[in-house]
Amino acid sequence: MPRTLIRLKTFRAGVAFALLAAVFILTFGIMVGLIWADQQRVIETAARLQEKTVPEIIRYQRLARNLEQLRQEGERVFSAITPQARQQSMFVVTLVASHPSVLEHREAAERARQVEQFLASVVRQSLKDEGAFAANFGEWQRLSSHLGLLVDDVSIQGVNLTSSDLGEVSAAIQLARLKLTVVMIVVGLFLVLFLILLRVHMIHPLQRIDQALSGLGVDQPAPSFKPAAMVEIQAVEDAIGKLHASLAENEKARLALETLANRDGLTGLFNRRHFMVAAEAELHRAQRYRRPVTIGMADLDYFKKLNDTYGHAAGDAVLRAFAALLQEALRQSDLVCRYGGEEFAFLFPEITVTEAARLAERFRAVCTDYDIRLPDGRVVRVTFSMGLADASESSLEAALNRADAALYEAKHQGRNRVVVASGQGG
Amino acid sequence: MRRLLACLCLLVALMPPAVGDELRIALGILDGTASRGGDTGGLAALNEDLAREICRRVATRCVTSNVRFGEILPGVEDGRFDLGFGNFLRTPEREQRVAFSAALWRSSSRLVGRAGTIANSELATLRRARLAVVADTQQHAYLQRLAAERQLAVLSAGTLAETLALVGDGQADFALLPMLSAYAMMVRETAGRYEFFGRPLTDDGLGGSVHIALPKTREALRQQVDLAIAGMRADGTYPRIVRRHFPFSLD
Repeated sequence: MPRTLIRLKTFRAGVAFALLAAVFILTFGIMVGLIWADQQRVIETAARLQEKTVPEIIRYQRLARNLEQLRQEGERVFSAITPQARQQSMFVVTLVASHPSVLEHREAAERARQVEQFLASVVRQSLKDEGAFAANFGEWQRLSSHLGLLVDDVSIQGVNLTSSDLGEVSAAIQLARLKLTVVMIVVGLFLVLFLILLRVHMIHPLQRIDQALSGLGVDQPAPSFKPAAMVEIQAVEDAIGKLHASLAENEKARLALETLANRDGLTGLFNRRHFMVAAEAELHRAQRYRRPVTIGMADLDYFKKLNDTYGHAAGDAVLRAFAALLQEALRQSDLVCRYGGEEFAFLFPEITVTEAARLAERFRAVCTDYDIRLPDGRVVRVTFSMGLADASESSLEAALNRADAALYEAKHQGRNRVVVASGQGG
Repeated sequence: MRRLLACLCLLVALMPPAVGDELRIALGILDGTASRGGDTGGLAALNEDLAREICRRVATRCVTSNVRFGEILPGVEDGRFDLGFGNFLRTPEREQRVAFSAALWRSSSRLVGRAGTIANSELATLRRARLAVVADTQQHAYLQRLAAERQLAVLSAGTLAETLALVGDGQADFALLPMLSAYAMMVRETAGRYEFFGRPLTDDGLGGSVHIALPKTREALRQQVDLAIAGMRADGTYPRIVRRHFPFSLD
């Protein structure tokens, strides 16, 4: 990860976003202000162009036109046939030379004055000397030429007036375009910075949260997160931790409830209800795959007498000890439950009734020699009788009945023995 | 209902008069004949044509009166005339009395004398001379201010023609006249009788823009007249009218 990102991560996200927003607003505001100023300059220059420069250009054009008329009237003074026509032209020369549009332009005023005085002088001379016009025609041509040049100069001056204003407008527009480009770059940079902050402080933490939620389970350790910069992300991460703890507690409670529902409270063995459900399922499985399975029923010998002699607490202790011995001696796959009182039911999967008889016989021998310490410190030994029945081709109920019958037979034969039911039953 | 009608009547009565059915227009005369100008039409004809064009544009009828220059401003001031065409230069003193339209043209003043008078005569250096002028004009006021110091004899006349006649008769050495008005009169005269002298003058109220005078209470009319003038300039009517009477531009 780039160093910048690492450095950014040390910022609190809220502070970073607020700082970014403040700098962005400030920078953007300044740039907008500068562009606004440029646009204002363009507007003002355009207004000046319209209100001042254009009238000024018109003024120059009028001046040029008046000077040109002055020159033409001067030509008429020289070319007039009658004194009346000459006077008319001379008056127009005087009028044009006296017009404020000419007078307000210093060079034009001087030139017009010069032309008027020259023409007036020639007209006066002509009253005495008829050759005055011919004599002064060369000088008039010089003056006329200068006047013509001045007309051109004034026209160009008028046109040039626009250059300055248009140049200013063009410069302002170019500057505004440059600033707009800078603004776009600044906005782009801020956008990139914003996306980086978003990625570091929002997207990545959310991805981690998503990953943690996907793998959240009671069999998994509680997810751990690196300290997040955003308070909101921290809250979500804390909530995930609490959710995991809650799930674990729920699982614990579920297991406790399951134990309460399926186990015998005294011995810890499965109770009769759970045994029947589990045994039914196992029996179906064995019969479907044609595997051997054996059902057994056992009963502690003389248990009533033990109760009467040592008391119910001793009876309970004996039941607990017998159950513990059963769990130690039997295979993991064997099902055993307290069927009721001192009676126990068994299911031995994957073994024939003969093999089950051998297993039961071995356990009976262990039990016979097993000392059970009572709560009052005395030691007793108990025996049990057991009936076994092959269940590979019969129902659970039928198998239990036959095992129970075999148990009865074992009791009848003198107890402390294992009897196998004959046949399969129906 | 009666009260409402009474209020409406009062409101109508108090409203400033807008452009009515007709405009009473005062046209300044150059001579005493109250006729249009010379062969080319002249200044009076120009003013009359401009007045009629303005009336056409504000959609009303013109009623023109040819009056002496000195009667125009008082007539406009007391409401006898709606528009006064007297080639008025705009001065602070006049602005206190009447309102002015947008500029019509620009003009300057100059000395007019008989041909053969000293060629380099200048008003700035003129002393102990007799000067004719149209009464109640800017030129008149200016010369009155200078008269004592320069020992000038100021002779005033009612019209421009009378003023020029004072020069022609030898009662005055020069006349100080507005250029355009002077031109309009001088072209009628015999060739070589009069000449312009000295430099053209625009300072001290002797030159500048020329306007139409209006009563100060007729602001709506003034705005309409200004719009009409701007329209005339924009569509070329104004220069065409000027060209009918003068062989040069007045702007």
